[in-house]
Amino acid sequence: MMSYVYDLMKTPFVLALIKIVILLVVAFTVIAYITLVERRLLGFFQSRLGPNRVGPLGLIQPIADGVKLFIKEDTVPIHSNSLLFRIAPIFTFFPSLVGFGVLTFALPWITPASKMHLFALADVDLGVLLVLSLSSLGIFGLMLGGYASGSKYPYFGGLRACSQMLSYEVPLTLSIITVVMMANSFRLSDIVTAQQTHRLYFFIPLIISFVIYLICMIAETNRTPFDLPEGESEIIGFHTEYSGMRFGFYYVGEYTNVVFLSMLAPALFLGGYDIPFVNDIALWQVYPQLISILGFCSYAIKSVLFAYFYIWVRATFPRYRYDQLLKIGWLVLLPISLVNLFIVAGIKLFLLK
Amino acid sequence: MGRIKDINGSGYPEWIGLTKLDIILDYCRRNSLWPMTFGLACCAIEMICAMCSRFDLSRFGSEVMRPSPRQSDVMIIAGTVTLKMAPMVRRLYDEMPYPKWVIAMGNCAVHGGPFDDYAVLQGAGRILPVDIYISGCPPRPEALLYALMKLQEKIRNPKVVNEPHFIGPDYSKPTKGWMAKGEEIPEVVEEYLKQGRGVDSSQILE
Amino acid sequence: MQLLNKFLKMITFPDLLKGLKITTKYVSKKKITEKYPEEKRSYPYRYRGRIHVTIDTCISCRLCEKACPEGCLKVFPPPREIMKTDKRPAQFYFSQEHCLHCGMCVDSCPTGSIHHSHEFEITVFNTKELLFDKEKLPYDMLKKQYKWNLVENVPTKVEVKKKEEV
Repeated sequence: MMSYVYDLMKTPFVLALIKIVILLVVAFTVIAYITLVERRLLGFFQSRLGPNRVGPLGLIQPIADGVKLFIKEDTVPIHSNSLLFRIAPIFTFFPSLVGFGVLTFALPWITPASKMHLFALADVDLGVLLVLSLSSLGIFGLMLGGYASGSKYPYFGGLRACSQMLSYEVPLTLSIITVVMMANSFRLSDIVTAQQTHRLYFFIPLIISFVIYLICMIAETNRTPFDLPEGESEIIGFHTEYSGMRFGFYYVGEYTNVVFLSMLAPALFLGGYDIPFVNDIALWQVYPQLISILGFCSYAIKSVLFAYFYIWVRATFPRYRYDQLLKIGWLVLLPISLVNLFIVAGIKLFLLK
Repeated sequence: MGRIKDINGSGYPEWIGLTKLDIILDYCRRNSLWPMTFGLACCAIEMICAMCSRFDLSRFGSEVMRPSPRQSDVMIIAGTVTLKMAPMVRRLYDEMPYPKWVIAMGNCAVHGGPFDDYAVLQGAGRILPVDIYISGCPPRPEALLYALMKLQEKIRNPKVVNEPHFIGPDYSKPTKGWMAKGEEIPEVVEEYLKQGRGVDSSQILE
Repeated sequence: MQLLNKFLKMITFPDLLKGLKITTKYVSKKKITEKYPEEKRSYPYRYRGRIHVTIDTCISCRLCEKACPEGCLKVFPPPREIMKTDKRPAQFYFSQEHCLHCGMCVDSCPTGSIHHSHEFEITVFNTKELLFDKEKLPYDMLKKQYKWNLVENVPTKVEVKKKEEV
């Protein structure tokens, strides 16, 4: 019986299913608790305690919020386009969730029986391109949500969101392309391997791309100081008409984006699952399992740093005006990233060969 | 397992652990009350103060101020409801999805406060079903926190409302004043109760 | 040189970094939040909370009723026969829903039987509970009732006068 189960486990399809389930559970837990971490950290930044009364240290707070959103009444306005209104939240939520499948979380864990890669679900060739196309799919959710609400204010909110995400996607893509050029591959694990073999994280040679990525990362996920699409208090955002779990999808989708982009950033710039100051690949041939677990931990710590950066920036900066936002996008970030792209390409062509 | 305990008329054996889903749902409801950003007058300043560092409403999980009525659970009517604003208040209340609660904060929202005139609604309770009234002019931020806790208590057990609720000390002891000696309440006093304020109490001297 | 300075300022974002530095300081600092239901702060000595009336020293003079700008106090003196011996009011109404906590009644009282308490959590489910009558207005029991008052004795005007005389 046990051997049969073990054989079944070894088939790629079942293994992939198990991986998907584990990935989803972990991802949802992280997404749920990053809301709590954000609220508590925002409290600490403002010299107050965050939510700490619901359960020990407020640990049940995200569950309470989620269940409350589920059982809240779901309103659909009369003048809305009801089909689009119902579908739109899914567009923001699922593309970013699919992105998790492309990531590689550690060096391959080699079990004696099988040589399966346990820490990657689908390490596809064009991983970076897939990620970029998925993130541009996310625009549809905001745009359709604003359009389908049947009200002027969400409509304008949707337009705002659309133009912001479009204009910041260009510098984001250009900054990622420099990384791709340095690594000679679109595959995310290859990018990490390139950093491991060069013993140099890409954020040192590509510092300009790194800064541009940091700015565009915040703008892509519509968070302060670029949270104009939502505009919680002053200008009304695209999800004004949404209530209950449909609003919850937007809410969760935003945090999924945050988690995803802060997990993508270390792979591109900080060496991913590489352990700093250690020759990973040499050690991995001796102790494969130990190194892959330690690598996973270092990857987690690096992505936590980026998630912390999100909250830190949110606690510090006020919101930009809309024309300033577009000016930064088109007149500052785009030229800089284009020039940066040409410089990196020139260096790659003529100096590094 | 012969013993059968009757829980709500359903004959389950005692050894079956029974609970209601409502208990969990109410727990979640009362611990994530998202208030609506809705300040009408000076009491809104105290509401903002309750959000800030010293009093910190976020400890109860309700610092998520929602600007849209569609996503909010509690409406804190903080301040004077003028007759011109009253339809908007009612409309915002109607736009909130169920389950929803209302807190009337400050004397103006409770009963018109000092403004007994042509322009002010005499109490938000005339247009809305108010759950909790906070008196004060304005109430301290702690009073808002206390009201929020009372609201949580009400969500857990709606029967709390019908129980005699007194603030502060226990008044159950018999008083030793003139009333306790056995005299009846004067008729004028009863009339006062019927008519409300404005009765000249000098009648009683005649 | 100026151009170089400008360029350096453009690429290093000194003002943004300064802001980030300031906010980081507060993460590890001590929080100033008061955990309200468990911890209660000490309120100022002359804090004006809900008024309390000591019925036993009241002489039914109705000065407070006249002084109140809102008309939220109503004093009903006892019938004349009783008034000769016992001046305590027959009924005393105080409607909290109109009270501004202005303190006029406290100033006007000749016997100091009205005074402000530190009670502020006046939260009810029904507005009828905001009309306090003689039985609900507490008296004689202040020290026992409000344990959380750091200023235990809320002094009446008489006591203050006595202190001044001494």
